[in-house]
Amino acid sequence: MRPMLLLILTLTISMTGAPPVLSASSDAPREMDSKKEEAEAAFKKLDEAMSQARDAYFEPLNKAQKEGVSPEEMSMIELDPDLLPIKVVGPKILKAIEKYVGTEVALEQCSELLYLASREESQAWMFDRVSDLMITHYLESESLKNFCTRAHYMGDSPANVKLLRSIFADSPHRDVKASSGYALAKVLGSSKDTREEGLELLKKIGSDFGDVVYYRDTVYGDKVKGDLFEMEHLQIGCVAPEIIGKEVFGNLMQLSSFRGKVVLLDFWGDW
Amino acid sequence: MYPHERSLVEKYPADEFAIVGVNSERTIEAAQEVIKKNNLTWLNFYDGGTDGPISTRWNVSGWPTIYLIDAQGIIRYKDVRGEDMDKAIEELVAELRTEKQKAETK
Repeated sequence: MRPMLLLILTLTISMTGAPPVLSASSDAPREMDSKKEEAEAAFKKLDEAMSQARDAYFEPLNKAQKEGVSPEEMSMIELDPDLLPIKVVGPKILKAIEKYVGTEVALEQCSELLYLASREESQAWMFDRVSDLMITHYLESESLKNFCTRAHYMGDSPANVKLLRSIFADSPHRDVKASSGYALAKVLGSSKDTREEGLELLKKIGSDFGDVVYYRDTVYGDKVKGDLFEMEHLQIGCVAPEIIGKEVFGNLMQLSSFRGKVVLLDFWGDW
Repeated sequence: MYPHERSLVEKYPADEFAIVGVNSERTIEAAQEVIKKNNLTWLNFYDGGTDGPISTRWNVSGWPTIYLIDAQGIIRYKDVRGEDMDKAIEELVAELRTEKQKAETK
Protein backbone atom coordinates (compact mmCIF):
# COMPACT_ATOMS: atom_id res chain seq x y z
CA MET A 1 0.00 0.00 0.00
CA ARG A 2 2.65 2.46 1.01
CA PRO A 3 4.83 2.44 -2.13
CA MET A 4 1.74 2.85 -4.32
CA LEU A 5 0.64 5.91 -2.40
CA LEU A 6 4.10 7.39 -2.73
CA LEU A 7 4.08 6.83 -6.45
CA ILE A 8 0.75 8.55 -6.88
CA LEU A 9 1.96 11.45 -4.79
CA THR A 10 5.10 11.84 -6.85
CA LEU A 11 3.13 11.74 -10.05
CA THR A 12 0.66 14.33 -8.82
CA ILE A 13 3.43 16.68 -7.86
CA SER A 14 5.26 16.29 -11.12
CA MET A 15 2.11 16.84 -13.11
CA THR A 16 1.07 19.98 -11.23
CA GLY A 17 4.39 21.52 -11.94
CA ALA A 18 5.99 21.37 -8.49
CA PRO A 19 9.81 21.29 -8.38
CA PRO A 20 11.02 18.33 -10.42
CA VAL A 21 11.12 15.14 -8.39
CA LEU A 22 12.34 12.98 -11.20
CA SER A 23 15.67 14.59 -12.16
CA ALA A 24 16.48 16.82 -15.07
CA SER A 25 15.69 14.31 -17.81
CA SER A 26 11.94 15.05 -17.56
CA ASP A 27 12.50 18.64 -18.65
CA ALA A 28 13.14 17.91 -22.29
CA PRO A 29 9.76 16.34 -23.13
CA ARG A 30 7.98 18.99 -21.13
CA GLU A 31 9.74 21.69 -23.08
CA MET A 32 8.72 19.93 -26.27
CA ASP A 33 5.12 19.82 -25.08
CA SER A 34 5.03 23.51 -24.41
CA LYS A 35 6.66 24.24 -27.76
CA LYS A 36 4.06 22.04 -29.41
CA GLU A 37 1.22 23.88 -27.67
CA GLU A 38 2.69 27.24 -28.54
CA ALA A 39 3.05 26.16 -32.16
CA GLU A 40 -0.52 24.89 -32.32
CA ALA A 41 -1.83 28.17 -30.93
CA ALA A 42 0.26 30.19 -33.37
CA PHE A 43 -0.89 28.20 -36.40
CA LYS A 44 -4.50 28.35 -35.26
CA LYS A 45 -4.29 32.14 -35.32
CA LEU A 46 -2.73 32.01 -38.77
CA ASP A 47 -5.52 29.70 -39.98
CA GLU A 48 -8.00 32.33 -38.91
CA ALA A 49 -5.99 35.03 -40.65
CA MET A 50 -6.00 32.84 -43.76
CA SER A 51 -9.75 32.44 -43.76
CA GLN A 52 -10.20 36.21 -43.29
CA ALA A 53 -7.82 36.84 -46.16
CA ARG A 54 -9.83 34.43 -48.30
CA ASP A 55 -13.06 36.28 -47.47
CA ALA A 56 -11.44 39.60 -48.38
CA TYR A 57 -10.09 38.19 -51.66
CA PHE A 58 -13.44 36.74 -52.76
CA GLU A 59 -15.51 39.67 -51.43
CA PRO A 60 -16.27 41.13 -54.90
CA LEU A 61 -17.73 37.78 -56.00
CA ASN A 62 -19.80 37.34 -52.85
CA LYS A 63 -21.11 40.86 -53.18
CA ALA A 64 -22.06 40.31 -56.82
CA GLN A 65 -23.79 37.06 -55.95
CA LYS A 66 -25.87 38.77 -53.28
CA GLU A 67 -26.83 41.45 -55.78
CA GLY A 68 -28.00 38.77 -58.19
CA VAL A 69 -25.50 39.48 -60.95
CA SER A 70 -25.71 37.13 -63.96
CA PRO A 71 -23.14 34.32 -64.39
CA GLU A 72 -21.70 36.06 -67.49
CA GLU A 73 -21.08 39.25 -65.55
CA MET A 74 -19.72 37.24 -62.63
CA SER A 75 -17.07 35.71 -64.88
CA MET A 76 -15.95 39.23 -65.87
CA ILE A 77 -15.15 40.25 -62.30
CA GLU A 78 -11.42 40.48 -61.69
CA LEU A 79 -10.05 39.79 -58.23
CA ASP A 80 -7.21 41.90 -56.83
CA PRO A 81 -3.99 39.86 -57.23
CA ASP A 82 -2.42 41.76 -54.31
CA LEU A 83 -5.07 40.28 -52.04
CA LEU A 84 -4.22 36.67 -52.90
CA PRO A 85 -4.40 34.90 -49.51
CA ILE A 86 -1.05 33.22 -50.00
CA LYS A 87 0.56 36.59 -50.73
CA VAL A 88 -1.01 38.22 -47.69
CA VAL A 89 -0.69 35.47 -45.07
CA GLY A 90 1.80 33.04 -46.67
CA PRO A 91 4.96 34.87 -45.52
CA LYS A 92 3.66 34.90 -41.92
CA ILE A 93 2.98 31.18 -42.07
CA LEU A 94 6.47 30.63 -43.48
CA LYS A 95 7.96 32.57 -40.55
CA ALA A 96 6.01 30.48 -38.06
CA ILE A 97 7.11 27.28 -39.80
CA GLU A 98 10.73 28.39 -39.48
CA LYS A 99 10.21 29.19 -35.79
CA TYR A 100 8.48 25.90 -34.94
CA VAL A 101 10.29 23.68 -37.40
CA GLY A 102 10.49 20.10 -36.14
CA THR A 103 6.95 19.97 -34.76
CA GLU A 104 4.24 17.89 -36.42
CA VAL A 105 1.91 20.84 -36.78
CA ALA A 106 4.57 22.82 -38.65
CA LEU A 107 4.91 19.91 -41.09
CA GLU A 108 1.16 19.96 -41.73
CA GLN A 109 1.47 23.65 -42.50
CA CYS A 110 4.36 22.99 -44.89
CA SER A 111 2.16 20.65 -46.88
CA GLU A 112 -0.70 23.15 -46.96
CA LEU A 113 1.58 26.01 -48.00
CA LEU A 114 3.20 23.94 -50.76
CA TYR A 115 -0.23 23.16 -52.15
CA LEU A 116 -1.22 26.84 -52.26
CA ALA A 117 2.17 27.93 -53.61
CA SER A 118 2.06 25.33 -56.39
CA ARG A 119 -1.04 27.00 -57.80
CA GLU A 120 0.49 30.49 -58.14
CA GLU A 121 3.44 31.00 -60.43
CA SER A 122 4.50 34.11 -58.51
CA GLN A 123 4.90 31.98 -55.37
CA ALA A 124 7.56 29.61 -56.73
CA TRP A 125 10.08 31.11 -54.28
CA MET A 126 7.82 30.06 -51.41
CA PHE A 127 7.60 26.51 -52.76
CA ASP A 128 11.43 26.41 -52.92
CA ARG A 129 11.84 27.64 -49.34
CA VAL A 130 9.26 25.30 -47.83
CA SER A 131 10.46 22.25 -49.73
CA ASP A 132 14.05 22.93 -48.59
CA LEU A 133 12.84 23.08 -44.98
CA MET A 134 11.11 19.75 -45.41
CA ILE A 135 14.24 18.15 -46.84
CA THR A 136 16.37 19.49 -44.00
CA HIS A 137 14.05 18.69 -41.10
CA TYR A 138 11.44 16.12 -41.94
CA LEU A 139 12.85 13.31 -44.09
CA GLU A 140 12.48 10.90 -41.16
CA SER A 141 8.83 11.76 -40.49
CA GLU A 142 6.11 9.24 -41.28
CA SER A 143 3.58 12.09 -41.59
CA LEU A 144 5.22 13.06 -44.90
CA LYS A 145 2.76 10.60 -46.36
CA ASN A 146 0.01 13.22 -46.08
CA PHE A 147 2.01 15.50 -48.33
CA CYS A 148 2.99 12.72 -50.74
CA THR A 149 -0.57 11.61 -51.42
CA ARG A 150 -1.30 15.12 -52.78
CA ALA A 151 2.10 15.83 -54.29
CA HIS A 152 1.30 14.77 -57.85
CA TYR A 153 -1.28 17.56 -58.03
CA MET A 154 1.48 20.08 -57.29
CA GLY A 155 3.11 20.10 -60.69
CA ASP A 156 6.48 19.15 -62.16
CA SER A 157 8.51 22.10 -60.89
CA PRO A 158 12.19 21.28 -60.17
CA ALA A 159 11.53 21.94 -56.47
CA ASN A 160 8.71 19.41 -56.28
CA VAL A 161 10.75 16.81 -58.17
CA LYS A 162 13.74 17.39 -55.89
CA LEU A 163 11.60 17.09 -52.76
CA LEU A 164 9.95 13.87 -53.92
CA ARG A 165 13.31 12.40 -54.97
CA SER A 166 14.77 13.16 -51.54
CA ILE A 167 11.83 11.62 -49.70
CA PHE A 168 11.82 8.53 -51.92
CA ALA A 169 15.57 8.03 -51.44
CA ASP A 170 15.83 8.73 -47.71
CA SER A 171 12.57 7.98 -45.95
CA PRO A 172 12.90 5.06 -43.53
CA HIS A 173 9.16 4.31 -43.83
CA ARG A 174 7.95 1.93 -46.49
CA ASP A 175 4.53 3.58 -46.93
CA VAL A 176 6.16 7.00 -47.30
CA LYS A 177 8.57 5.56 -49.87
CA ALA A 178 5.63 4.08 -51.80
CA SER A 179 3.59 7.29 -51.82
CA SER A 180 6.54 9.56 -52.67
CA GLY A 181 7.74 7.21 -55.41
CA TYR A 182 4.25 7.01 -56.89
CA ALA A 183 3.87 10.80 -56.87
CA LEU A 184 7.32 11.20 -58.42
CA ALA A 185 6.43 8.70 -61.16
CA LYS A 186 3.21 10.58 -61.97
CA VAL A 187 4.99 13.95 -61.99
CA LEU A 188 7.83 12.69 -64.20
CA GLY A 189 5.38 10.87 -66.46
CA SER A 190 3.41 14.05 -67.09
CA SER A 191 6.22 15.83 -68.94
CA LYS A 192 7.63 14.69 -72.27
CA ASP A 193 11.33 14.72 -71.42
CA THR A 194 10.99 12.56 -68.34
CA ARG A 195 8.15 10.34 -69.48
CA GLU A 196 10.26 7.21 -69.85
CA GLU A 197 11.77 7.59 -66.39
CA GLY A 198 8.31 8.10 -64.95
CA LEU A 199 7.02 4.97 -66.63
CA GLU A 200 9.94 2.87 -65.36
CA LEU A 201 9.48 4.17 -61.83
CA LEU A 202 5.75 3.53 -61.98
CA LYS A 203 6.42 -0.13 -62.84
CA LYS A 204 8.95 -0.34 -60.01
CA ILE A 205 6.41 1.02 -57.50
CA GLY A 206 3.90 -1.56 -58.72
CA SER A 207 6.34 -4.43 -58.21
CA ASP A 208 8.33 -3.31 -55.11
CA PHE A 209 5.47 -1.67 -53.19
CA GLY A 210 2.49 -3.47 -54.72
CA ASP A 211 1.13 -4.57 -51.33
CA VAL A 212 1.20 -1.10 -49.70
CA VAL A 213 -2.24 0.51 -49.33
CA TYR A 214 -2.86 3.44 -51.69
CA TYR A 215 -6.35 4.41 -50.57
CA ARG A 216 -8.99 2.44 -48.66
CA ASP A 217 -9.09 -1.04 -50.28
CA THR A 218 -6.78 -0.21 -53.16
CA VAL A 219 -3.09 -1.18 -53.01
CA TYR A 220 -0.36 0.38 -55.15
CA GLY A 221 -0.18 -2.79 -57.22
CA ASP A 222 -3.76 -2.26 -58.46
CA LYS A 223 -3.41 1.51 -58.78
CA VAL A 224 -0.32 1.16 -60.95
CA LYS A 225 -2.01 -1.47 -63.09
CA GLY A 226 -4.82 1.02 -63.73
CA ASP A 227 -2.41 3.83 -64.56
CA LEU A 228 -0.44 1.66 -66.97
CA PHE A 229 -3.65 0.52 -68.68
CA GLU A 230 -4.69 4.16 -69.04
CA MET A 231 -1.31 5.14 -70.53
CA GLU A 232 -1.44 2.31 -73.02
CA HIS A 233 -5.10 2.06 -73.98
CA LEU A 234 -6.99 5.18 -72.92
CA GLN A 235 -5.04 7.93 -74.67
CA ILE A 236 -6.39 10.12 -77.44
CA GLY A 237 -6.02 8.13 -80.67
CA CYS A 238 -6.51 4.72 -79.02
CA VAL A 239 -9.42 2.46 -79.94
CA ALA A 240 -11.80 2.65 -76.98
CA PRO A 241 -11.58 -0.59 -74.99
CA GLU A 242 -14.71 -2.73 -75.12
CA ILE A 243 -17.23 -2.48 -72.31
CA ILE A 244 -19.73 -5.30 -71.87
CA GLY A 245 -22.16 -5.03 -69.02
CA LYS A 246 -25.70 -4.71 -67.79
CA GLU A 247 -27.77 -1.66 -68.54
CA VAL A 248 -29.34 -0.03 -65.47
CA PHE A 249 -32.73 -1.45 -66.49
CA GLY A 250 -31.40 -4.93 -67.10
CA ASN A 251 -30.41 -5.65 -70.72
CA LEU A 252 -26.89 -6.68 -71.59
CA MET A 253 -25.15 -4.14 -73.81
CA GLN A 254 -21.74 -3.42 -75.26
CA LEU A 255 -19.95 -0.22 -76.14
CA SER A 256 -18.80 -1.42 -79.57
CA SER A 257 -22.41 -1.74 -80.71
CA PHE A 258 -22.47 2.08 -80.86
CA ARG A 259 -19.85 2.11 -83.65
CA GLY A 260 -20.92 4.37 -86.50
CA LYS A 261 -22.10 7.05 -84.10
CA VAL A 262 -20.24 9.69 -82.14
CA VAL A 263 -20.36 8.58 -78.51
CA LEU A 264 -20.16 10.67 -75.37
CA LEU A 265 -19.03 8.17 -72.75
CA ASP A 266 -19.95 9.65 -69.41
CA PHE A 267 -18.88 8.17 -66.05
CA TRP A 268 -21.35 9.74 -63.67
CA GLY A 269 -23.20 9.56 -60.39
CA ASP A 270 -25.86 11.73 -58.81
CA TRP A 271 -24.01 13.08 -55.76
CA MET B 1 -25.46 18.72 -66.45
CA TYR B 2 -28.69 16.82 -67.24
CA PRO B 3 -30.39 19.63 -69.21
CA HIS B 4 -27.20 20.16 -71.20
CA GLU B 5 -26.92 16.46 -72.05
CA ARG B 6 -30.61 16.26 -72.91
CA SER B 7 -30.20 19.18 -75.33
CA LEU B 8 -27.36 17.34 -77.07
CA VAL B 9 -29.43 14.20 -77.49
CA GLU B 10 -32.24 16.30 -78.94
CA LYS B 11 -29.92 18.25 -81.22
CA TYR B 12 -28.51 15.28 -83.17
CA PRO B 13 -30.28 12.38 -84.88
CA ALA B 14 -29.99 9.07 -83.02
CA ASP B 15 -27.93 7.48 -85.80
CA GLU B 16 -25.23 10.14 -85.48
CA PHE B 17 -24.79 10.73 -81.79
CA ALA B 18 -25.40 8.85 -78.54
CA ILE B 19 -24.66 9.35 -74.87
CA VAL B 20 -23.57 6.17 -73.11
CA GLY B 21 -23.47 6.52 -69.35
CA VAL B 22 -21.56 4.48 -66.81
CA ASN B 23 -23.50 4.98 -63.62
CA SER B 24 -21.71 4.65 -60.29
CA GLU B 25 -24.63 4.80 -57.89
CA ARG B 26 -24.19 2.40 -54.95
CA THR B 27 -27.39 0.47 -55.59
CA ILE B 28 -29.31 -0.38 -58.75
CA GLU B 29 -32.49 1.05 -57.19
CA ALA B 30 -30.77 4.41 -56.66
CA ALA B 31 -29.52 4.37 -60.27
CA GLN B 32 -32.99 3.58 -61.65
CA GLU B 33 -34.56 6.27 -59.51
CA VAL B 34 -32.18 9.04 -60.52
CA ILE B 35 -32.61 8.14 -64.21
CA LYS B 36 -36.40 8.20 -63.95
CA LYS B 37 -36.50 11.30 -61.81
CA ASN B 38 -34.36 13.28 -64.26
CA ASN B 39 -35.98 11.83 -67.34
CA LEU B 40 -32.74 10.58 -68.86
CA THR B 41 -33.47 9.00 -72.21
CA TRP B 42 -30.06 7.45 -72.94
CA LEU B 43 -28.60 4.09 -71.92
CA ASN B 44 -26.37 3.55 -68.92
CA PHE B 45 -24.11 0.72 -67.85
CA TYR B 46 -24.59 -0.05 -64.18
CA ASP B 47 -21.21 -0.20 -62.40
CA GLY B 48 -22.28 -0.69 -58.78
CA GLY B 49 -20.28 2.09 -57.12
CA THR B 50 -17.24 4.24 -57.75
CA ASP B 51 -15.02 1.17 -57.36
CA GLY B 52 -17.01 -0.85 -59.91
CA PRO B 53 -15.29 -2.97 -62.57
CA ILE B 54 -15.75 -0.52 -65.47
CA SER B 55 -14.54 2.54 -63.53
CA THR B 56 -11.62 0.55 -62.18
CA ARG B 57 -10.56 -0.67 -65.61
CA TRP B 58 -10.88 2.82 -67.08
CA ASN B 59 -8.87 4.17 -64.11
CA VAL B 60 -11.54 6.74 -63.29
CA SER B 61 -10.86 8.70 -60.12
CA GLY B 62 -13.16 11.70 -60.55
CA TRP B 63 -16.83 11.99 -61.50
CA PRO B 64 -17.98 12.96 -63.99
CA THR B 65 -15.22 11.76 -66.32
CA ILE B 66 -15.90 12.16 -70.02
CA TYR B 67 -14.54 10.48 -73.13
CA LEU B 68 -15.56 11.47 -76.64
CA ILE B 69 -15.33 8.57 -79.08
CA ASP B 70 -15.67 9.02 -82.83
CA ALA B 71 -17.72 6.90 -85.24
CA GLN B 72 -14.73 4.58 -85.79
CA GLY B 73 -14.50 3.89 -82.07
CA ILE B 74 -11.37 6.00 -81.53
CA ILE B 75 -10.94 8.09 -78.37
CA ARG B 76 -10.71 11.66 -79.63
CA TYR B 77 -11.21 13.84 -76.56
CA LYS B 78 -10.87 13.34 -72.81
CA ASP B 79 -12.52 15.44 -70.15
CA VAL B 80 -13.85 18.24 -72.31
CA ARG B 81 -16.55 20.31 -70.65
CA GLY B 82 -19.16 22.92 -71.48
CA GLU B 83 -18.67 24.80 -74.72
CA ASP B 84 -15.51 22.88 -75.57
CA MET B 85 -17.48 19.64 -75.37
CA ASP B 86 -20.20 21.02 -77.66
CA LYS B 87 -17.58 22.11 -80.21
CA ALA B 88 -15.84 18.75 -80.08
CA ILE B 89 -19.10 16.86 -80.66
CA GLU B 90 -19.99 19.20 -83.52
CA GLU B 91 -16.59 18.51 -85.10
CA LEU B 92 -16.91 14.73 -84.83
CA VAL B 93 -20.47 14.68 -86.15
CA ALA B 94 -19.42 16.87 -89.09
CA GLU B 95 -16.61 14.40 -89.81
CA LEU B 96 -19.09 11.54 -89.76
CA ARG B 97 -21.41 13.34 -92.19
CA THR B 98 -18.55 14.01 -94.59
CA GLU B 99 -17.55 10.35 -94.49
CA LYS B 100 -21.12 9.26 -95.17
CA GLN B 101 -21.42 11.64 -98.14
CA LYS B 102 -18.17 10.34 -99.57
CA ALA B 103 -19.43 6.79 -99.27
CA GLU B 104 -22.72 7.68 -101.00
CA THR B 105 -21.13 9.46 -103.96
CA LYS B 106 -18.77 6.56 -104.65
